[in-house]
Amino acid sequence: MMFAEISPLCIILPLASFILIIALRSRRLSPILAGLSTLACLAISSGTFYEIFLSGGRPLYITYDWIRIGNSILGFGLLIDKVSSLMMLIVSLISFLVVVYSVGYLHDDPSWVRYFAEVSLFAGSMMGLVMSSNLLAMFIFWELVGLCSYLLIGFWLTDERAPVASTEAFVVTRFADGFMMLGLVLLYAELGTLDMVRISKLGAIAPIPALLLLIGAFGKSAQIPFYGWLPDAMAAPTPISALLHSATMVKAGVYLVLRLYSLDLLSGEPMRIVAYIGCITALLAAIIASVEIDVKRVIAYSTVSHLALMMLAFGLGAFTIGYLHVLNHSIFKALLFLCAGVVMHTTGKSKITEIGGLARHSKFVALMALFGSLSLAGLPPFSGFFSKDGIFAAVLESGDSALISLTCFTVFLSSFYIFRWYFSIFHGREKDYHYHFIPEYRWMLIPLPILGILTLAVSGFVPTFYEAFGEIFHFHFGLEGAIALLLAILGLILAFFLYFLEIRPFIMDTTFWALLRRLPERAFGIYWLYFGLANLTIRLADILGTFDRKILDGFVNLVGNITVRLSDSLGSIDRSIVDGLVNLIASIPSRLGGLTRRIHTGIMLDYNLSILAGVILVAMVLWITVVLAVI
Amino acid sequence: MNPSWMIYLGLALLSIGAIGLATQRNLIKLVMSIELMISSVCMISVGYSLLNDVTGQVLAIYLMAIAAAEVAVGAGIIIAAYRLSNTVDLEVYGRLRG
Repeated sequence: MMFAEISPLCIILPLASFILIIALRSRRLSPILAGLSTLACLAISSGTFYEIFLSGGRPLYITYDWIRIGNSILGFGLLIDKVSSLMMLIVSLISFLVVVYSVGYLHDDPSWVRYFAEVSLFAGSMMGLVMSSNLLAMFIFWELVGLCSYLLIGFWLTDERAPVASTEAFVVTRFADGFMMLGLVLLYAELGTLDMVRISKLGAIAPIPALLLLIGAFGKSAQIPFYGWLPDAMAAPTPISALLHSATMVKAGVYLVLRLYSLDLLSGEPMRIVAYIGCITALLAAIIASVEIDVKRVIAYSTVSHLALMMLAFGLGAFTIGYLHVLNHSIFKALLFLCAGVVMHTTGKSKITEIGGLARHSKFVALMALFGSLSLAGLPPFSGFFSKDGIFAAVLESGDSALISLTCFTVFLSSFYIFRWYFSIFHGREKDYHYHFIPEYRWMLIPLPILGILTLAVSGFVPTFYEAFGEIFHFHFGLEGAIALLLAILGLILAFFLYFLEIRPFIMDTTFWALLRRLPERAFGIYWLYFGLANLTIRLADILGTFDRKILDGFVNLVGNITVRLSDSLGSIDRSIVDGLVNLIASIPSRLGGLTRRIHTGIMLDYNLSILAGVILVAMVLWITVVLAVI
Repeated sequence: MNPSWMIYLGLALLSIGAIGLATQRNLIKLVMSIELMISSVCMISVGYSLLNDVTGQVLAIYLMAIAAAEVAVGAGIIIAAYRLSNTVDLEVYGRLRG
């Protein structure tokens, strides 16, 4: 239990590296710090994975009270068991590889320091999300990775699409998170705790909070009706698409379902909904991916489709197989995105129709992309075969004919679109582009073989994986395996004819075909829905604003006006009557003083004269008195 | 010795002093007028004392002492006033005007 106990460092180290990078702002140190912190995470995660997953060690469960308000306690906790230890390994591995890759990808970017800071922040937050045992703590990290997604999609601030795409991703996922938060509140009101381990002792979550939590998961994992944001998030730098928007962050929604499911917190009814949403999203996204021509958007829609397949597996109760697909998808999709980054950098083009024949220039990248594509299409001996086959088997077992037919189509299409992508870029006629490879790009080639080998190596790990979750892996190539394989090979052959040999059937040039393509090209009207909703919200806000201004403010202003008028009249009474009386009394002495002040001329002669006059007057009075007395 | 002329002389001096007090604008002249009036009172009281007893003459001596004190005080005031405004003309001291 050595590594498991220091596993909280997996959160702390990348966050510390984030702060250090921001503080130092050193171009040379930033990638070293980010690389070292993610490498340390990888080491700790590997140790933890070995102890808990492979050796079957006791899960580590730490919890403590974080906020106490009266009797309510909000906790914070970590739960490192088999589920989270594997996810930690995936996150730290892809993070480290992406940091290495980014050194080459962004070698001349002026915002290099900010990039590595944000990647470190993301790595720490994602680790926190994976390790949390408390839904509230998980929600906090959930929002932090959402923030990182927003920052990194909008990384190229001066780009035309990036700021719009980042805002879209933020608003759409926040919209879904609003429901999730409501779910958390309901859950807390009902149970008084958000700790998943404690909740699991009380039984499954009630359907309504569970559904609200699932809506949050659908938003993060880009399921119907939220799938529109993920393809637009491709405005981010390609390593970010590999890390956040295929391998780890969008897995958060799937991981939430996985986490709840692994603790038996989800009951039957919500899981049916998850299965149907997943099945429909998988097909829709696969159809869109088949007509999309942007190098990154094809694999973005493929990500949506595969996330949906995982949801489908969980919805049907095929927990282990769904988780195996999470692992496989992280590896092959990260590989495909990293290959796409190399392709776009070396050719300078971003449309698959503009490239073609690239295998002649870089055989290595072509081979790696082929590995990823084969794994994605689910062809043996690549690891994707085992999980995809398993999901297909689970769907067949459910016996639901709607699910079966839709999934058949999805399996066929996913093989078709990925080979359409692969053949269009690496084979066929060479289009007009200039291939250039500079020495800095060598950094970008380092992660490719690691992931490429993993797409094969994970196949050998499959029995161990089943064993860890208490299931026995018994490989039998039965009917369902044959159907899935046949569909995948059919898709491959179709793509081979259309894009490797470039045979173009006449139907593809007709107006009918163009009309047919229009619906998936416009992403089945999802943007129309978004803009409609946004406009509706703005209209509603306008109406409410008018109501607020006219009626609420009007009432407040009326009361205000009445008060002002009243005080005005009271004030004039005060000024004229009360003050007037005081002034009147005060003015009497002042008037009197004005009358008498004239005597004081200030000339001393006047005073002298008046003294003399006074003396003479007194003398005369005395004299008259004496005379009268004598008489 | 007929005291009546002394009384007339005293009255005349008193009148001269009073007129001086009422007409003069020089502070020194004013003090001199006051002195003249005190002296005239002295003369009148001495004149009357010749008719009866010596009380008037004693009074005259007291008056001279008072006059001396008054001169001392008056001269002091004048010097202070002169220092204040560099003149002894009465016109300047109009500050008591109400």
